Amino acid sequence: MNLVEKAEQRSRLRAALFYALATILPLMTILALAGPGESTTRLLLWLLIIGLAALNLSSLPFRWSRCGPVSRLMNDETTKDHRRSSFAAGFWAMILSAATTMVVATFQPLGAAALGRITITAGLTAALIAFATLELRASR
Amino acid sequence: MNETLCNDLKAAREAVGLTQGALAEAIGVSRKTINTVENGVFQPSTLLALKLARALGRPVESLFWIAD
Repeated sequence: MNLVEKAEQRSRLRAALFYALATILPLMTILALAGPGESTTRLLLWLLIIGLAALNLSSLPFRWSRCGPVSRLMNDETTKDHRRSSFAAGFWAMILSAATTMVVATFQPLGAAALGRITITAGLTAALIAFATLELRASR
Repeated sequence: MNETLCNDLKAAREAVGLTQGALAEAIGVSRKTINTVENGVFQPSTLLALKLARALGRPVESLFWIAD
């Protein structure tokens, strides 16, 4: 398997992982909001997941580490373009979810933690789905 | 004005007998970059356009042009 094939395989794996995260994050938020209360362990796990998801959506890990040739191929021009598009999708999802949640909060009071959690989840989920979809579509 | 960047990348690549993967490896990008440029989904940077032209032995303006 050559470098290009390795990079393609890893890119597909990354997209699958992003789809999985985009499923887990809303589920965790629903469980937290519907459940009896917030446990510290669950909150820390959620913070860890959003941190890792946000980090992987950015190209920061590729700037910090000394990247090998496969990693460089996984962060080439197209991937950077997909990152920009997915950040834009995440931004609009955050705006929309924040506005919707504020309207809902006038009828059903919500705490600041719940508002933050819904907004971050919506933004990250949209960005993860957008990035994974663009990457898989480009590989076809 | 609605300007579109057109390209002749696929024909030029096939003319020299390269696959998308081989061209991608030659210029140090992923295969999806070649695929999206060929399909007109992604507009390459000047650097990438010049690299593609050099790898295919063609002047860059014969690979890429603007359709008004």
